[in-house]
Amino acid sequence: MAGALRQVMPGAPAFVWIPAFLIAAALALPLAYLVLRALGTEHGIWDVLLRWRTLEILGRSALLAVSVTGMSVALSLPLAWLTIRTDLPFKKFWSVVTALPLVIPSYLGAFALIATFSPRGMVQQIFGNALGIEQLPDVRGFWGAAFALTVLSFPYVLLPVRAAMRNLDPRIEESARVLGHGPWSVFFRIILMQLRPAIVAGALLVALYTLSDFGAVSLLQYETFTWAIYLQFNAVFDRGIAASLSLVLVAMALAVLLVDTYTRGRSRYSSSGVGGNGHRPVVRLGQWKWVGFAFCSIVALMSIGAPIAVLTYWLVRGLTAGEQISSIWGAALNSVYASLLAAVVCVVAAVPVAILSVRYPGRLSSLVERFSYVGFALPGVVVALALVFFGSNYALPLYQTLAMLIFAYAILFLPPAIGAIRAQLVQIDPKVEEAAQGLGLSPPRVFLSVTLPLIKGGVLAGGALVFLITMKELPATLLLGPIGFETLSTAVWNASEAAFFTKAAFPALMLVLLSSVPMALLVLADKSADQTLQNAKK
Amino acid sequence: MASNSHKPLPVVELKQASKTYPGTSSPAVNELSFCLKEGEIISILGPSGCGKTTILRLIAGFEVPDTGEVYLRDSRAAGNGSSVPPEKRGVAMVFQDYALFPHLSVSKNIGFGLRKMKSEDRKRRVEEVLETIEMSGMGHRYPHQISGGQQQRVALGRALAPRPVVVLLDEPFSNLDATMRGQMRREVQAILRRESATAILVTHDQQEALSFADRVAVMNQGRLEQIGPPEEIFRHPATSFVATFVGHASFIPGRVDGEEIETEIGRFAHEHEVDPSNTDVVVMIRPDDVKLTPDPHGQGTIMSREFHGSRNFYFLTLDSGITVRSRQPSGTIYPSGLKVRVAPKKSAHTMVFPKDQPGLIPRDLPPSSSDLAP
Repeated sequence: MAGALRQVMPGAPAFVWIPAFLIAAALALPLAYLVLRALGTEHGIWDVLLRWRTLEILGRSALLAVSVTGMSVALSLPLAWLTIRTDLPFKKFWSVVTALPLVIPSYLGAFALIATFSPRGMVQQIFGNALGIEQLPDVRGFWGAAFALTVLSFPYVLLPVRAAMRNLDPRIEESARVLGHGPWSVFFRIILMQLRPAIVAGALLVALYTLSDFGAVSLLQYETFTWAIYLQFNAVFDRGIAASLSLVLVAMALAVLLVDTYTRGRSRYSSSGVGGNGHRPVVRLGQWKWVGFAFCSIVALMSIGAPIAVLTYWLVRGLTAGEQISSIWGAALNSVYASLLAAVVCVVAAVPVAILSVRYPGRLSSLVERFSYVGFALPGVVVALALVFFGSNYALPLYQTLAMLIFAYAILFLPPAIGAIRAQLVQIDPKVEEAAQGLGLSPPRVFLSVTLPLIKGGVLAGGALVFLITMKELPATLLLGPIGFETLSTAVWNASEAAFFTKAAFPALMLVLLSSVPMALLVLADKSADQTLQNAKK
Repeated sequence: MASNSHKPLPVVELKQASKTYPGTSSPAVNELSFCLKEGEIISILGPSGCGKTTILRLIAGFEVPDTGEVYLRDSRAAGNGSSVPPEKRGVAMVFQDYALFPHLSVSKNIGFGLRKMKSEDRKRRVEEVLETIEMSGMGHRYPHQISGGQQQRVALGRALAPRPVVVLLDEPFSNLDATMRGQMRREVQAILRRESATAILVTHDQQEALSFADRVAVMNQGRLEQIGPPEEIFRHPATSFVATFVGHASFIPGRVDGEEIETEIGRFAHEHEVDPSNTDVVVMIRPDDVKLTPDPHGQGTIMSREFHGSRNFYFLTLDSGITVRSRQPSGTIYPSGLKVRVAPKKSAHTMVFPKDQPGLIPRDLPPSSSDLAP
C-alpha cells in the first residue's frame, strides 16, 4: 500500500502524507454520513426534494444569494475605483474602513437592524412618541436579510477587485484612449473586462457566504435552507428530512464552486504589470469629490457605524437600567478558548496538507487537497447536523463535547488556514530545502529547521484568520456546543432572538472588539508583506 | 531648429512646450520646440529621466503642457490651458510592454481603434493589417497565445490600423534580448516605411536611435541638445554631452595656437570659430581615430584591453593623467604597461569645445553595447 502510494507521490515523506491522508478522510466523514442518512430517510429523499415547500426554500435561497451578490458587486466597483483611481480625500482611511465589515458577524448586523427598527427598538424608544411615528418599516424578511448580508459581505468582492485594479497596466487604458475610445468606453470595454476574474471570484465568495449564512436569516426570519434545516431539526423529529435539505444546500454550494473552477480555467490572462516609468493617472474628481465622499461615508455608516452605534446605545441603556455585565465574562472566555483551540488545530492540520499539495503535486495529493476544501461547500448548519447524527449514533462519548465542536470548526475553517500557508509556501524556493537536505538533515529536521521558520508568517496569518471566523461562528456552536457552554455568539443570538436588546449588546460589542485583534494583525501582516515586496522590487 | 520652409507639411509641432510634474522641482520638458514632417521617422535619444517619454505623452494628450503649444497637422491640440483629449487626437502609441488587451483576440485588438468604420470595411482593414505584420490567419489567437515578437507586431498593427497622424513608440524594443532587438527593429522599421507612417521613437539606446530614424533628437535634462540626421549627430556633435552620449569620445585639453590647436597627442587643424579671448579648449576624438605605436619614449601607457572579438578596445593614460581610448584591429595585441606613442589618424575627425562648457564629462565611460556590434 505504502509502496503504491509512493509511486503516485514520489518523495513525499511519511510524516507528511500519513497525517494528510488521515485529515482528508476525517473531513470527508460528515458528508458521507449525511448522504447515507438522507438515503435512509422514511419518506425517501425524492419525496422531500420534490415537495413544493422545498422548492420555495430553494427559490428564496437562490433569490437572496443572487441579490446579495449583485448588490455587493454594485457597491464594490465604485468603492474600488474611488479608493484607487481618484483623488478622493482620505483614501487610505476608506480603504481600511471598507474592509472592516468582515469583523462583524451577520447575526450582529441583523440584530442591529431589529434593535433599531422593531416596535420596541431604538427609533421607537427615542423618537416614537415625540415625532408620532406610527409605522416603522418592517425589517424582517427578504429586504432586511438582503441589506444586512450585503453591507457585511461586500468586502469579499471589494478586496479582490481592489487588488486587481491596482495591478491593471495603465498603458492598456492609454492604448485604448489613443485608439479613439473615451473614458466611459474604456471603463466598460477595458477596465471592467480585465476585472472580470476578480469580480467573479469575489461574487462567488459572497454567494457561498449568503447560502451558508444562518444568523441573519434566522433572526430576520427569512426562511432559506439554513434556517429551514435548523427548524426541521429542532421541531420535527425526522432528521432524515433535515439531512435531505442539507444535501440540496450542499449541491447549491457545489454548483457555485463549479462556476468558480470553470471561469478560473478560462480567464488566464497574461498580465504584463506596470513597467519602468509607469505613470498611474489619478482621476481628479473636482466637485464630484464630495459625492464620492458621501458615498463612502454612507457605506461605512451602514456597515459598521450604525451597528456599533446601536449596540452602544443598548449597552448604555442596559447599564443605566442595572443590567449585570459580569455574566458575560464566562462566555467571552469560552469564545476565546474555543477559537484558540480551533486556530491551533486548523493550523496543525493545514501544514501537512499544504506541504503535500505544494511540494509533492500528483493525482493523490490533489485529491487530498480537494477533500480538505470540503468545508468551503459545507455550511456550518450542515456540518453541525452531520456531526450531531454521527455523534449521537456512533460516538456517544464524544457527543456534546468540546472536542466534537472543535472538530466541526476544523472541517469548516481548514480551507482558509491551508490557503494562508499555501500562499507562503509557494514563495519559498524548494532548493532551499534541498540544500538543507544536502547538508545531511533528515526530512523532519529540514521541516523543523528550514521550512517551518520560513512559513511562520503564513502559519500565523492562517491562525489569526481561523481565530477570527471561529469567534463569529454561530450555527455549529449552537448545535454542537456542550450543554451550558455559552459563547459570545450564542449569547448574542439567544438574547436577540428573545428581543432582550440590552442583554445582547454587551456580548456583541465584546465580540467585535475581540475579533478586531486578529483582524488588525492580519491587516498589519498584509502591509508588511506589501512593503517587503516593494522593497524587493526596488 | 523648426524649419517650415520644406515642402512636406509639419505633422507634429511643439512650440516652446514646458511641463513640470507636480511635486518635482525641475521641468521634465523645458521650452522644447521641434517639428516633424509627413512620413518622417525621428528618434528621441537621451538618458532615462531626460523627459523623452513626457514628449510622447504631451503629443498623445496624456499630459497637458504648462506653457507652450502642441500642434497636430494644422490644428492646435494643446496650449493656453486647453487640451484635446487623447481619443480625439488621432495619434497612436506603442508601449514598451505592448499593452495589448489581454481579453481580446488579435483581430479584435487590431480592430479596436476602427469602431467608427462599417463592419465590412473594418474586417478588410484588419485583414490588411494582419498581412502587413505577417500574421495572416492568426487573428483568432489571444495575446497570451503568441510569442513576444508577434505581440510586438500586433501592438504595431493595432496602432497603424486607424491610419494615425503619427505613431509614437515608447521604448518598444527595450524588453527584448540583444538578438531579437535588432531583428524587431528592422521589421518595425520596414512596416512603418511600407505604411508611409510618420513616427517618433523614444529610446535610450544610441545604436537604435541612429539606425532607426531619418533624424535624431538628443535630449538632456528636459532640453533638446541637438536634432539632425544620424550621421551629423555622430560626426558633428553640437555639445560635449551629445559627443559622449552618441558613440564614445575622449576629451583632450588643448590650446588654440593660430590656425592649429596644440594638445598632448599632437596638433589639430581647427575648422571652427573659437573665441579668441578663451584659448583653452577641449578636443573630442573618437576611439577609431586614435593611432598607437609602441615606443619606449611615448607619452601614453596601456592600462587595459577589452577584447570584443572583431576589435580590441584599449584604455590608455597619457603622461598628464588624461584617459584616452583607442580601437585597434582584432590581431593587434599589446600588453598592459607598454609605453606607446598616441597620435590622431590622418583622417581623424575631431570636434573642439570651449574648456568650461557645462556638462563636459572628463572621465571616460565604460564601453556600451554598441561597441560590441560588428
